[in-house]
Formats: sequence, C-alpha cells, structure tokens
Amino acid sequence: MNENEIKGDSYNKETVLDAASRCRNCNYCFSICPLFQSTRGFMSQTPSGILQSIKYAIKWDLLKGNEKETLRDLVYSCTTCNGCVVRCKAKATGIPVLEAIEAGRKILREMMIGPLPQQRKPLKDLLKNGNPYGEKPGKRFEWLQDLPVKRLPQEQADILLYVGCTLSYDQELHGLGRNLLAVFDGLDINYGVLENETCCGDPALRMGDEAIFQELMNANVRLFKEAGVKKIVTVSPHCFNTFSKEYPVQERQWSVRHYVEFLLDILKEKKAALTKKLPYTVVYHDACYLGRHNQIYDPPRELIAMVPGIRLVEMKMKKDEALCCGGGGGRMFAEVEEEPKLARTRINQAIDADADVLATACPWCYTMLMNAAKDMQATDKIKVMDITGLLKESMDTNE
Amino acid sequence: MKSSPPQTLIEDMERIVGKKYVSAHIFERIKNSLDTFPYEAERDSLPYVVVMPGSKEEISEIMRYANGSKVPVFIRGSGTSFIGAARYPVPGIVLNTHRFNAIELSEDYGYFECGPGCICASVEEALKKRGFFLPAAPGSRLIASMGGIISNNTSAHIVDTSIGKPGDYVLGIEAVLPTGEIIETGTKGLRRPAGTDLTKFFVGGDGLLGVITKIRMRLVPQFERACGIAVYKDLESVARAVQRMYMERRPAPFFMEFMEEKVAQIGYDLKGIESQRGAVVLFVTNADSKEEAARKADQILLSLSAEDPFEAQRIEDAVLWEKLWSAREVIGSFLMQQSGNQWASAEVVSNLKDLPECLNEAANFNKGLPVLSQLTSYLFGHIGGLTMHPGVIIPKDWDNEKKKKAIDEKFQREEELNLKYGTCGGEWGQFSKRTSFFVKRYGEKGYGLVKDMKKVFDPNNILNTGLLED
Repeated sequence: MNENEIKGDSYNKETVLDAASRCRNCNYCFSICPLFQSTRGFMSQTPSGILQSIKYAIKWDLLKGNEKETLRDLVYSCTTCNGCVVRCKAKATGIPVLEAIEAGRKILREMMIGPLPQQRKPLKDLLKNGNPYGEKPGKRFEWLQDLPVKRLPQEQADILLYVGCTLSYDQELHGLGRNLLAVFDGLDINYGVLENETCCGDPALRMGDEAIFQELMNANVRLFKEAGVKKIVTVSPHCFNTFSKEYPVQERQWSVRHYVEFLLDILKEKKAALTKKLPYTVVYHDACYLGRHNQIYDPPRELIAMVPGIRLVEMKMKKDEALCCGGGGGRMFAEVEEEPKLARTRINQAIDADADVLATACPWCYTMLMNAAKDMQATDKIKVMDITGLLKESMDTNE
Repeated sequence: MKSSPPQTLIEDMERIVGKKYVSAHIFERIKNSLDTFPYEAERDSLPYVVVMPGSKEEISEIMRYANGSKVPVFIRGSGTSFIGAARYPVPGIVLNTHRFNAIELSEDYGYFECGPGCICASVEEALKKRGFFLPAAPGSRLIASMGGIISNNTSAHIVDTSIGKPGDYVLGIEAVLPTGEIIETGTKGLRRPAGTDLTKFFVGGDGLLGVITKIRMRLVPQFERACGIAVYKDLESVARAVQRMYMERRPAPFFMEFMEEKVAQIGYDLKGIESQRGAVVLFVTNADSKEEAARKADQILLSLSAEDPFEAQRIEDAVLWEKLWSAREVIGSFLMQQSGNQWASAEVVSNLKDLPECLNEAANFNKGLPVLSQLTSYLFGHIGGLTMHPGVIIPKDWDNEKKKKAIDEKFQREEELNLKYGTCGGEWGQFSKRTSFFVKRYGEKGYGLVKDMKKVFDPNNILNTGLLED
C-alpha cells in the first residue's frame, strides 16, 4: 500500500482486531491512563477498555446499534497521550493500543458516528479555513504584522518557523509567540514564516478524519516545496510529531525539529546570550507529543537548566510517566468528562514540587495549564510559562 | 444460579449509589466480563450492570436488594485474577470497589487502614514515604487492588517462610455480609486475637463470605537488603541447593527467584548481561541493618555453594542487580511481544522433600497434554517459596475452543502435580478454575464444609456466585 493512501475500513478493523486479540486484559495500562484517573473509574474508560469496546462493536455488530454513541464517547475520550503504549511495552504485551484506538476513530468517522458533536465544527473549519478555530486564513499572521519577520516564499530563509494554528489565532498566546521570535532574533537565526501556512493536520487525524488530514498534508507539502523549505522548526509538539511521523517519508524533503532541540543546539554554542539570572524554581511539564511520543525528555530540561539562576525541580509524575494536561487527542475541541481536571492535578503537582514556575513547550499544554491555574486562583503560587518566556527573560532582549 | 433481573434493576442501583456511579452500557459490561484468559467474552453471561458504591451503607443496601431479588453480585477490584475469579459464569451486578481507595496511616496506633479499591503500588508508596513497607509483592502491583490481595491472602513473590502472608499483618477488617449486615472484626491493638477471629473468614476467603470495605494492617518498618546470585548446570542442582538452604537452617530469603537456562538467557540477552549460561537463582535477604542482611545472604550462599554452582556470590553492584532482577521480570512480556501472542502460566508448588522431582516435572509441564504439548514451555518462579510458574505462549490465532482447552489443560496438569506433591497454590486463590483441585485435595467433606460455611454467610448464594460449583 502506498504510504500516502487513505487506509480503508478493513485495514482499520484489522488493526483493532489484531491489537485486541493480543491484549491480555492485564489492565496495567489503567495505572498510567489519564482518562482512568480523571473519570469515575469505570473499566471501559481505560485503554484496554476502549480497545475491547471497539473490538466487540465490530465482532458483535454494535456499530449500528443504539449504543454507537456510547462507543463514540468512549473512543473519543482518549487523550492520545501514549502512556498505555509505553506501559504495555514495558510491562505487558507491547501492543499498539493507541494506533488501534485511532483506527477505531477512523472507523467511527467513516460511518459518520464520530467525531464528538463539538468536534464537527472544528473539522469543517479545518477543511474550509485550514485551521480548527473558524478563523479566516488571512488573519493567521496578523499578530506579527508589526514585526520584521520574513515571509516565505517571497523571501528566503534558512529555517521555516512553522507557527501553527493555536499560537496564531489564540490571542492569549501571542505573547508566547513574540517571546519566541525575540529569542530567534536575539540568536541571529535566519528564519521566516510560510505566507500561506495551513494546519499540519494533527487535529483531523486525532479526530479520525483521514481525508481532511490528507487535504491539509497535500497543501503543506506543496507549500513547502514551492518555498524550497529544507529545515522546519515547529512551536507545537503536535505539529512536530505530525510532520515527522505522519507525513509520508517520500514527501519529506526537509528536516523537522521542535524548537526545544533546535534552540538547545544553538544555545550550547551561544550560552553567553543568556545573561540575566532568573531566581526561579522551575518544574517542567512533559508534553505527551514531545515526551512519550518522541522520547524528547532531556532537551527541554537542559534548555531550562542553561538559564542562569534557575533551579530545576521535578514533579511526582515526570518523563514517560508524566500526566497529560488533557488537551490532546482532539479534546481541545470538546468537553469530555474530567473530574478532577487533569490540568488542575498537574498544577497541584507543580505546587507540591515547590516550584514557582511551571514551564511548558506546547501551546495546548500552556493553554490548559494556564487556564487551570487561573480557575484555581493559583497564579500567585505558580506561574505558567513557555520555555521561550524564560529564555527571552534571560536574554533580556528588546522586541 | 441464573435469574432474570428486576426490570427496575438499573434505576434501583441508581437510587442507591447515584446515577453517575452506575453503568449499564454494553461496553462497560463487556470489559467487566473479561479477565486474563485469552478467550472471548460470552454474551449470555455479561453482567447486567456495574455499580460503584462509595460507602459501606450503599454496599449493604445493594446486598439486601440482591438478596431480595436473587440477583448475583460479583465484587471486582482490578480484574487481574489468574484463576477465573474475575470471569463470571452468570449475569449479575458487578460491584466495583474503585471508590474505596482511601489509605490512612495511624502511626500512633501502629497500623494503617485502607479500602479494598486501593492499588497495591499506591499503598506501597504511601507506606514507603513514612518508612514502612507492604508485606505483599504481586507482579501486578501497579494495578492489583488490596481487596484482591487480602481476599487471596497472597504475599505473591515474597517467600512466605521469610515474613509470612499479608494475613499475618491484618489486624482486622470491616465487611458487609452477603445479607447486608455490616461487621467489624479483629482489633485496633497490635496483637491479633487469640482464639476465634472472624477476620480469618475474610482474609484468604476468596471473596465468598462478604465484601471487605476496610482493611487494617500492622505497620511494618522498612528494612535493609542484600542480594545474591547462584548459577547451576541444571534444575536438579537448583532444587538440591534450595533443599540444603532449608535443611541446613539458613535464614529464609525475602525473595528467591529462579529461571531455567533458556529463560535466563532470554532475559540476559534483553538486558545486555554477559554471564555464565545455566539455571539461575536470584535472592534477596532482609534485615535491620545492611551488615545483617549481608550476613544472612552469606549464610544462604554457604548452602547454595555446596551444589557445585558455576558461580554463587553476593551482588553489591546496584546497577548490575537491577539488570539481573529486571531480566527475570521482563520474561513474560518479552515472550508475548516477540510472538505477538498471550502468556498463560500455572502455579505448581512442591513440598521440600520432593523438590528435585517436582521441578523436573514442572520443566516438562506440557508433556502428554494434547493441546499444550504443541507449545514450548518456559519455566521460572519463586523457588524460595517452592513455587514454579511453567508458562506457555498461546497463539492468538487459535480458535476460541482451542484456547479454552489450553487453559483447561493448564489447570488439569497443575492439579495433578499439586495433588501428587500434597501442596496447593499459594498465590492465586483456591476456587473457580481450581474447584476440582480443592475437592480432590481436601475431599467432598472438606469442600462440603466450605459450601456449608458459605451458606451460613450467604444463604441465597448471592455473592460471587459460581466461584463454588453447586
């Protein structure tokens, strides 16, 4: 099968049935699953529970029955944090639980059962506007209009800074974006943004719509080729993961890195750029799509630790056992049962670690954690910052 | 017992525990009907409903209701039973203990109390923080519930002759009887009752007699450890070395694991350990001081060294020990991952005198069995506890009936061996798939006594129906 081809219903069903036939129901996956930890604890609200649900829906012909929406709600409640995969590999049968759950989403999408009702509009918006927020494509870079940022392909640059939808359209994140640009400028990085940037396709994939993903991917690949892009640096771990794992190898005529690894390499050579001591105790929240999905655990910590004055501490759940913020897997676009809120639990873990700054490297994690801190009225106890904010403050740059 | 549920069952459950703690959709019912056996869920035995009570009073009301309407109730912790106790033969109400997850340390009393839904690893962590340890170490510690551990009274991988079983530390419990009454047993003191102690009916009671709602256990201080290894040319030498250890009155090891040569080699290769080939014994001793733990290990090594090992020594390099120990721990998962199939193992227990013969038979576990003999057997276990886990990898492509046959043969051979050596399983419980063994081992009269006792507590056979056969 061509890697670029949409995999059909029978392939997705086979993926589910094969994984489920190897699942031993040992339930070790429960112990790391954020869904299990943030719901009432029913066994179907777990990785193996969702997997078995899809399997029996296929085998017992329940996809057409009156419980299909119950199945949809289960399948789409997963945060896709990949904890189950890591745990199953370490302790059990090593099955691709998440791949099977996502195959289940594709089956449900194909049958028009999925996604969740609140996710339908973002999906449509992806197709119509190239972003899931219903914003016009032309508004994407309004936030940096006053900044001297190169636009590809009209201008040339060594690095394509792939900004992503969330940073572009969420006003709350524009400060984060400005910090990142200031750091890039401060380090004399020759970069630019893509004039007609469109969504990488991650939300479509996570919501089970492979056709929309293909549309977005094809658009991006075309834009990258037209602009002669050779190196991409992403702001979001989700975009990074999508470009590096979901886009077909034969289409990748470019390398892709997340900004933490990219900046770490540069700052190793230019450490003197970090001039100002910051008297913070910082704890880092591992983003699922940097950590468990791509094993990037140490670079963000090294990057933070390079900032003079910072004391880096750790939370109870870290690295491959880190708690998801709850925003992945399409959940940014839907209200799902969550009690306690994962992001609130994470804020409490950061406070328990005696940190005064909770650092992130993902726009969605930042949003989830920042909102949780505000809701908990805990912003005086813990400050949520993107790593770029720390770097910018230490570099003492002027925008 | 197979009954029709009251039409208002779900509404009635919602009234008792609240709507949000009742689930009757088919997917929750399916997941609650599955266990670690490799065969399919069966539609006609799916539970009617899963409920998650939050108090002993709610459980009491559920049990009274179930008695009145003759609907079976199945207690479910994490569903990790290896003997079929979590695979229900008839429909009923599944009573999930997840909300009973509080743990409270009372150092001024010298005990801790926890709910049956507490996960073993969480209890371990809470105890460790304050310098105590949990006297149970199941392989499934990340998910096993305390209710299951206490109902089976399993110390799991810990050698019983070292520190006993969890029941030796249980000071008392709170339970709801199948007829709905709430009782408390035992003591808040640090001496377990002399004479009649109702606690004993529930600890190791296989969940037959009541729903445990609280467990009170003595706090046991953490201890220091020493580790050691011995490698032998064959399993007979392993058996004779362990016999010597006991007969020469050495200190009992806290853990003592073994792997046959081919299993050890798999683990070593995985962990990048270069070592002498052979059958491997790994052990841990416990004591108040490092010196005392090391002295105990040296004492054990005196016996282990007398059976001509390739090597027998203490291991002081923590990194090497971690590799060696994890080489043993990853075997099952590696074999499953390598083949893409599922692991199933038995629990063969020897007496001390016949250990060499029993170990040899465990090594040839599949011999002569029509289905299992088609598979390779792998052998490891807790040799300090004279326990062997011969295991197989059951192909996922086998049809359901063949998988069932494989599991039945596993219990059949386990039964033959444990009967032959006059022993019984020491980790996984006694009924469900093992009921036939119990009858043969302890006679119709012995089994009848268990059934009679069940009747006293549970006259309508409501609780965990089917664990005992009618």
